[in-house]
Order: sequence, then C-alpha cells, then structure tokens
Amino acid sequence: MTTTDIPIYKCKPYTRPPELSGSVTKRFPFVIVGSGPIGLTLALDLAHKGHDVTILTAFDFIAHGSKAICFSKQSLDIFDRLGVGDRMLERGVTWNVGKLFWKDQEDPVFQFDMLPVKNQKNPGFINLQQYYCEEYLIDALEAMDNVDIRWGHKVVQIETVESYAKLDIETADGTYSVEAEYILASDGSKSTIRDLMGLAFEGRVFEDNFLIADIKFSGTDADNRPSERWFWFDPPFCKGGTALLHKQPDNVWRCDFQLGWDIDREAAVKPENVDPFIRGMLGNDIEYEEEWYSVYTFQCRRMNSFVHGPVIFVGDSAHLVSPFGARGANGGLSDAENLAWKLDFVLTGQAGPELLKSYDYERTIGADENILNSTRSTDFMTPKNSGSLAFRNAVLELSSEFEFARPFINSGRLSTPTPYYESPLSTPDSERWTKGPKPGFPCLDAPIDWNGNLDWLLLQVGNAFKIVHFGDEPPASDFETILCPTDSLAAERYGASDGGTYLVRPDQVVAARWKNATAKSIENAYKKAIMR
Amino acid sequence: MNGLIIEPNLTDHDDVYQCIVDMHDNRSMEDSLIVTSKFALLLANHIGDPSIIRAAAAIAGSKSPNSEQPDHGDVQ
Repeated sequence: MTTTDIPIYKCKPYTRPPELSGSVTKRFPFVIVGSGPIGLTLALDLAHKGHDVTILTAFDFIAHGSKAICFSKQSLDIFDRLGVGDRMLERGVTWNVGKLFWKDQEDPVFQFDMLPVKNQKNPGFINLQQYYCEEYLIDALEAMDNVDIRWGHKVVQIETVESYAKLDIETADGTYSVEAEYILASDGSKSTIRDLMGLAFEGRVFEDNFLIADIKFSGTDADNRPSERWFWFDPPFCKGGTALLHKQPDNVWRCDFQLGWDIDREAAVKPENVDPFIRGMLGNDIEYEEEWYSVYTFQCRRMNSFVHGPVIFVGDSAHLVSPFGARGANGGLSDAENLAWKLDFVLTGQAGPELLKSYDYERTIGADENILNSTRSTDFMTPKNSGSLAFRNAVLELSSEFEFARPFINSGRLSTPTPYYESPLSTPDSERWTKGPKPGFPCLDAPIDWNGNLDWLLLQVGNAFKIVHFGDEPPASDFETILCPTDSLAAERYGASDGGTYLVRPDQVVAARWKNATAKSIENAYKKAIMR
Repeated sequence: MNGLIIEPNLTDHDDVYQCIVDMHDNRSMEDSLIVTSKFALLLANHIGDPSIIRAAAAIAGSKSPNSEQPDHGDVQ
C-alpha cells in the first residue's frame, strides 16, 4: 500500500527539521520510528520518564480505516499509567461477554465472561477505533515540551555502526541524516527498517481472506444491541466459514467474514457484494452506511531476535499474529512497556546495555505465546482436513449440552498478559507460596482503601520499582512502599493474608516476593532485576 | 451418569486439542476415521470400565438435532 491509498482520519503538520536549516547534526540518545499505537505509547512512556523524545513518521496524518479495535485490560492499565486511560475508557465500548453461535441456531452454544475476576479497575476489553487511540496518545504527547513528532519524515536508509545507527530521512524539503544510539523500530508489519536491514521475518502465512466491514447504523435499533462479542461458526450467511461482530464507538460495528482463499478481492469489497453478508448477519430491516470495507489476509511470524545492535524492534515490526484473540496491538503495547523502563535505566546509567537483552528474552516469549494461541484459534476455526473438521463439529455439537466440551471451543483466546517464565530478571521463590502472582508474572489488580478513599492497586504500582507490603511493618528498603492490610482483597489475591512482601518492576511484573523480606534480599532481587 | 465425568476435567484444553487434530495432518477422510478409531480403542482400554465406555458411547451415538452428513469434506 502506498501512502496515498491510506484513508485519512486527521492531517498532521509537516515541519522542516532543524538539520535542514544549518543546525549541527547531533547524536540522539534514541529515536522512535513509526506513529502507530505502539510507537506513540513507547514515546509517551519515555517522555514521562523525562527523556527528550523524537518520533519519525513517514505519514503526515492519522490513518482512518479498519485496524485494531480491541484493547485489553492490561493495555488499559498501561494507558492509565500514562494518563490517557480514562479518556480511552470513556470513549470506548466496554464489553466482557462473548457469545458463540453455530450454524443457524438462534441460541448461543456457549457464552463466556472475559473478566472472571471482578473488583479490578479496568474491564476485560474495550473496543475503540485505532485512530482514537492514536489521537489521544498524540494529544498527550503534544502537551509535553520534551516531545518532537516529525510528521512526513520518511526513513530511507539505515547504517548501523557498533554503538549507534545513522538514518537518512526524506522530507518535502530534502533529505537529511541523524545519528542515534538506539533506533526503536515501531514502524509496523511492513517495517521499512526491517527491510532496509534485510532481516528475516519467518513464520506461517494463512491462505485465507477475511472481509472486514465497519458499518455505521443509521436506524434507531442500534443502541439496543448489547455490547458483546458475537462469533459464528459456519453460519448460513457465511457457509463453511466464520463471522465476528464487535461494537465500536459512534454506532460503528465491525463485521468480519471469512471468504476463503480463491476470491476476487476487488469485487469482495463492493457494497453490493458486502450487503448480503451484513443483512445475513444483522437482519434484513437494518439501515446502515459504509464506514470502511477491506479484505485482509494474515500471517503468524516473528523475527528471530527483536534486538539487533542499536536497533530494537517493537510491535508488528517484530511479530505478526492473526487478529483472533486481539493479540496484535495488545502484544505490541506489552513490548512498549517492557522496553520503556529498561531503556530508561540504560540511558540514565542505572543499568548496563545488557538489560536490553532481557527485552528480547521476555518479549519473544510473549510473541511465541501470542503466535501459538492465534495459530490454534485459526486451526479450530478453519480445520485443515476432514478429520479435524469432524472434531471441531463434535466439540460444537456437544457443547450446548455438555460443559466439558465448552473449553475446547476456540474462537480466539483473548489477550492476557504473558508470564515471563524463567526470566533472568526474576528471583525464584525461596519460601512456599500457594497463591498470588509468581516472580515473572504480571501483578493483579484489587481495590485498596486509603483512609476511606477507594483506589486501585495497579494505579499505585508501576512506573518505578516499588514494594507492595501486606502487613503493618514493611522491611527497610530504598523503594517506595505501598502498604496493604492483610485482611484486604489484595492480600487474598497475592496469597499474603498472613503477610508478605512483593518487589514489583516498573512494568508491573513481579520481580520477587518473600514471606519474610530483608533489606538484603530486596537489594539482591533488585540487582538481579536490572542485571547489575 | 455411571461415573462418566461430564464436567471439565482437563487443565490445558488447547494443548490436548492440538494433539488430537495433529493426528489428522495430511490424511484422507478414511484414514482419519481409522486414526480416530484407534484413538478411541486405546482410551477405552485405558479406562477399562465397560459401564463408563457404554455411557460415553450412549452420548456420542445419540442423534442430536444438529447432526447432519458433512457437506463440506474439503474445507475452505
């Protein structure tokens, strides 16, 4: 796709760079390439941490069109810490319930709750158009005086030297060069940086086409439809395929239909060909207008390593998954938050550059889990042979009556935070714990009571290494300590009703935990967590 | 139900499911039927209790309103 094919949501101003006005070329500590949700989130996180941030983006607009729409609880937790979560939550459509339909049966064969653990600040998911997500991140970035978003600056060449990289950047006013100690390549699935460096991107291409129809209801009945994720196996309006319905803000609905491999892609998006699918799914009497129609195919692939000398890949540039499970943007946001604090520690000299290797270790685990889950979902939805089709249909047939069959149904295992098993940054338990997040696992949320004011644990942890102590007498340490009573829901969730202490990383991952913490054990665990 | 467990009794459904469908990779429908039959016989032998096997056979063999002859042997 060339730039001119991309629909525009909002134009952004190109500005002439100082490098083309005779200013001396300086070496940046880092530059971010790409202005999608991942690059913008990484930028905002690093800007909050006090760094001067430069974003290079080939676009001079926010793109419209059908892109990411499902943002997970963990992504909302990240946005909360960056001060944009509430705006997303207010605009987004909140949903927790998913329903699964089969063939022409009116009743769902099964329905599930995305947030089985209640009493957490954020819902399981919100649906929000990617352009709103980007707009809110950009608004927050533009309000900061240490951020420079360079719209219409396209990277055309990269040369890596051992400790830095040199970029050639094309603009309307000509080409200029910058040097940076780190290049954070969040430039999407067709990453220019990855291509320019000739790096492999291996995996599996799925031979299937999907029609996405984002439509806007103009009738009155739209508001009465529940905010739920509806998924069909082999429905009458999409024989032998699958279909998916999601509500978005502004009365926009995403309808997704599996079309098969050998199709005429141009014909498929013509309104007269889309209409029967939409009416089949939603009924003949609905009134709607087109928001955006497109056909997509998908791939599951990743780079072998996300860190290549001074160049670090983040989000879709590093890994791609099928859309089922909402693991693309959400997985990328986990990359951003994992990388931001590590790069901050390296740039400020609190940790050595080897800490960045743990980004590669931890986020390739995340990518592999996302790829495995989304591959399995795809294999369930589109069985590869008659044997697996028979098993798939047997599961669906048994599920309406028998509970045991329901967990086999796979219409997308929706994104949840990945535990970092055996991370080099984690200190394994030395005492017996029966409950609570283990070292390397993401923190759990719970309401906490601050002298009568309700707050949330996840709003308090994060952004820095912190101690969460359950009990009255916290161990001596240099870290900010969050005190929770042992009779709280938080203590129960953390398996610390008898007391306990957690050391939590800035990305809300447990670094270590103790029943009886000492200043020395905390110090050692901290050093391990920053590879010092 | 004569001791046949019909509540969820596995921990990792996706792993088990993948193991089952992987048996069918690159097989014809006839071949798949043989594979599935061997699989059922192995599990029946492992269970070893005829009453459980009969209870499972009764559920599996009952004709539900949804069952129809597969009309798309070649899946798109």
